[in-house]
Amino acid sequence: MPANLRPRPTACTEQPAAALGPEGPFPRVRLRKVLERRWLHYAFLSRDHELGMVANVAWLGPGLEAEDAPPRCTSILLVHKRGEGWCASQFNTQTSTPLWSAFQQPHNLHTPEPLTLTSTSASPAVELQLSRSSRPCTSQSAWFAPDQHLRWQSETGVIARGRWTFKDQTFDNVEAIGYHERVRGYWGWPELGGWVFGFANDPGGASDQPPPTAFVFTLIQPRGPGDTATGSVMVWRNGRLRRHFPRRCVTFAVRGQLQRDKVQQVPALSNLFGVPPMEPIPQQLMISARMGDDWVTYDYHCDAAARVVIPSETSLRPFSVHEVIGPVHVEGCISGEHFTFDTYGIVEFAGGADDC
Amino acid sequence: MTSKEQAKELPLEDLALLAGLQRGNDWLRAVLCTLARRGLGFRQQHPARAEQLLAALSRYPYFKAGQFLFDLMEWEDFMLDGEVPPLAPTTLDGPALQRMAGLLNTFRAHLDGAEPMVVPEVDTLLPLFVPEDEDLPALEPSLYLYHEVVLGILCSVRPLLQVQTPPDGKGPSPTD
Repeated sequence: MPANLRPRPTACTEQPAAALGPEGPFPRVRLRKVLERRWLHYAFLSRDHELGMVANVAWLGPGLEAEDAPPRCTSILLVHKRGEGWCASQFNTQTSTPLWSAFQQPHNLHTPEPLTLTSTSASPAVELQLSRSSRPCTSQSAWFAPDQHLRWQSETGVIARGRWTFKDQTFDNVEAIGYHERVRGYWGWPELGGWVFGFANDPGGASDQPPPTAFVFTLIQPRGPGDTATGSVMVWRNGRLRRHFPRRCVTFAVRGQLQRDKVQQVPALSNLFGVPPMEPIPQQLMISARMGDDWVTYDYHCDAAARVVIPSETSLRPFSVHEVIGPVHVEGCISGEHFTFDTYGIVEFAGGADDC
Repeated sequence: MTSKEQAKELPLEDLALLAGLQRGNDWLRAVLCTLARRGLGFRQQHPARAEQLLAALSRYPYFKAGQFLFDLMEWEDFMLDGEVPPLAPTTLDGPALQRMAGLLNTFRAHLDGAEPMVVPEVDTLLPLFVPEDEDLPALEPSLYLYHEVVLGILCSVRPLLQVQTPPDGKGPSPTD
């Protein structure tokens, strides 16, 4: 059983339980084709902005010829310490089972449950108790290529408390706030093209409450057919998704390039494999969304980046996901209610498998 | 009181309610999966035609709204989760199409006073999907199931459209 799938709890009565839908983050169906994918994504920033982490646990179909083989699993953990850079595992981070997910049902708010991720070299590592404080956005999908697709669902305001290990330093009782996401679908990296994705949680407010405001954006840029690029901006207020700005209401702009010595390539083994040069990362990302009288802006400055090199199953060039941490200013107005906050955010600039 | 104790004390009326929801759920899942399997069967037999149809429909407001609803309800996960449901061969069969056509006609008459309140005649002896359903392909996680469901609906309503001739008489003939 894949680690993400929680065994059904022992029935506490003799009466059969009603199963009215999937209990976990993914449907109970076996992955078969190589490009059938799932992953659970975690990203957190400590409230003092000193520490940040990104983790991804992914499953891939074993291939039709593999018959009953289990899905292939890769897991990576990156921890960032301000001023000291990134520390990353290989693609074999050890994970606690079952993996925490806000998309387990039922799943109560403010109920801590564990998530432990440990590099096989013991660093980086996190031992966290995670609590959801908010509600997820609507499940969304992008279709392209023309028979490939990606489905995702995001949840902001996830509270993480626990121990972080960065190189030889250990930090206890760190409180962080972040983001969780489930993704599934069927795609090749060249066809997917690229994406820009990111979030920010207002760090203000009580630690046992959802962030007063949270911001998530997505821009997916498949190479075809036609106009299949999609994107959106979502704004949560006090744990509830309040506005979903569709693609036609959102503009993205970038300026400058991040200095290349601020980008670290991970996992470390990728440096041995003649990986092609990376794409430049913008210095600044500006997103604005407006729908009627509601508007929001996200003014983000890239500060430090890790380039995660992901082998592509169907192209020679790898797919690169640049995990970027930097300060952000968020401002907006929804239903006449003005809000503004400054914090650090995590942004991903991804692509490159289809470049010639 | 713990949640386990509460669960032990669920009264019979609650269990009956959940069982009723479960039956409705199972039925809906069987209907959706039947439509998707019809659509997949059609796509496998006519891949270019299926792509053309989906490309044309992608601008149709009802298609866009349907996709939003499909995502909102998380129906793809719902359809794939667990054991494969049995086929529901009476999904959008002749009698169902007749009732559906009547419903849509009534709605149109309520929206537009010039439209008559008539139930269109549908030949309920039109070829149904029962024989073809037996050989329908299985669903896979690689499929974008909204498209398969839409194709399945198109396949199912096609017999109805073939016998409906517009007032100008220029509609497609049953043999098109």
